[in-house]
Amino acid sequence: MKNFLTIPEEIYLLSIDENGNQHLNFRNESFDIIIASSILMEMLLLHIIDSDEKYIFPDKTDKVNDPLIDGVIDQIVEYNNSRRIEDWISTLSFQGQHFRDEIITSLVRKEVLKIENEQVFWFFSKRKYPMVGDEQLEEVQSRIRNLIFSSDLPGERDMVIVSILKNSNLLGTVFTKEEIEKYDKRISQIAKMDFIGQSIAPVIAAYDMPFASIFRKKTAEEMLEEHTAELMKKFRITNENNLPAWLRKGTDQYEKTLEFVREKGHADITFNPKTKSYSELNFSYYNTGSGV
Amino acid sequence: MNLKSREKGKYTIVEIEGRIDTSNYEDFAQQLQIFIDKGVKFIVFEMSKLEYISSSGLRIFLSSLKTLRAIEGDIALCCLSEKIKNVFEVSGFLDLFGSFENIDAVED
Repeated sequence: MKNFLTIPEEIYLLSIDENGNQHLNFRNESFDIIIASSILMEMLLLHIIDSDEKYIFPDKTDKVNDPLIDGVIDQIVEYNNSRRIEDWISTLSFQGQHFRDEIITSLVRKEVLKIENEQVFWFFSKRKYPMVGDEQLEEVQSRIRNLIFSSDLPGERDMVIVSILKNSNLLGTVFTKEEIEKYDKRISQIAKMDFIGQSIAPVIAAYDMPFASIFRKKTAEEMLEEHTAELMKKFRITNENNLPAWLRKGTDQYEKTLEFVREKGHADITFNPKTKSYSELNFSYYNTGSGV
Repeated sequence: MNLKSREKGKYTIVEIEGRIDTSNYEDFAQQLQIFIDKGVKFIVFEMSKLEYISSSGLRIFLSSLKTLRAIEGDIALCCLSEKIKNVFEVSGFLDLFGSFENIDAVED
């Protein structure tokens, strides 16, 4: 049976507080890495891909009628080979803004969240999922807490969520400091059980520069070069040939990127390969409210 | 991947040979389900000839363990090569299963 919510959707829900505001810890590009990883994990559970300790391989790459996942399936099919886990995480992280928009749209459609005055809120007055048939599904935060406090074997979906939280240093969104210390052994044991989860921490660790060098009075070329250099450092890309076409000099798409940068006056932008459209990075979803 | 099974006391010893990967994890799951459907509750996997296992294969070990523990059965591992032992160790799966150093140690 298809799950009501995907791993990226549940990770997004863990990133927002009771009022729908995104916690401070998530208001950075590390969250793009986390979302990219969670998409790969969902694809692993759907057997679209398989992995070992180092590599991801295509498995059953039929579309699943989910815009978020289907867009990534196209990229997996296009690559059509085994590839290092970290490299897929990095590639998909470039599309973070697009993924966030897709996730929020889907959660609104499923009536878990609602948007009013450009702000995200829980659909109900508290953390709760809608009824699915006759069943009241347990909300992710409560489910993960119950798993850790028990000695039960984890289900595979909860296993990967624990792995993301632990490897992204985000356990504080679910547990108190005391709980993290008390249940450290169990959390660590479950967190090890997913190879993609294990790959998140080194990718995040490689990213140690401040994000915005935006609004500088520089040429479009200079702004885009700086933005590209930051992304290459962040995602540990050492060869410009491995950049996506919209950031790779000499391509037609790069020229279009430059045009968009000129038009907007800054290079804080992203490109959606699915719709072939550019957009400015939009922080409106997580620029309000208090943090953790 | 080839599976060979034999009985030893209350245990069904399942010898795994070859790779469990994208091409055959479903066969592996199906064959384990057949054992479980026949009433097998205690399985020892003899893994000296297992050459490779992917995430999908590991998750079949986990789901089978859940199924068997729910009916008070269990799974144990035996005779892991260094390479496979390392995969189970790095993934935390080694801690989930009991183990035997060799098949002779499995009770009749």
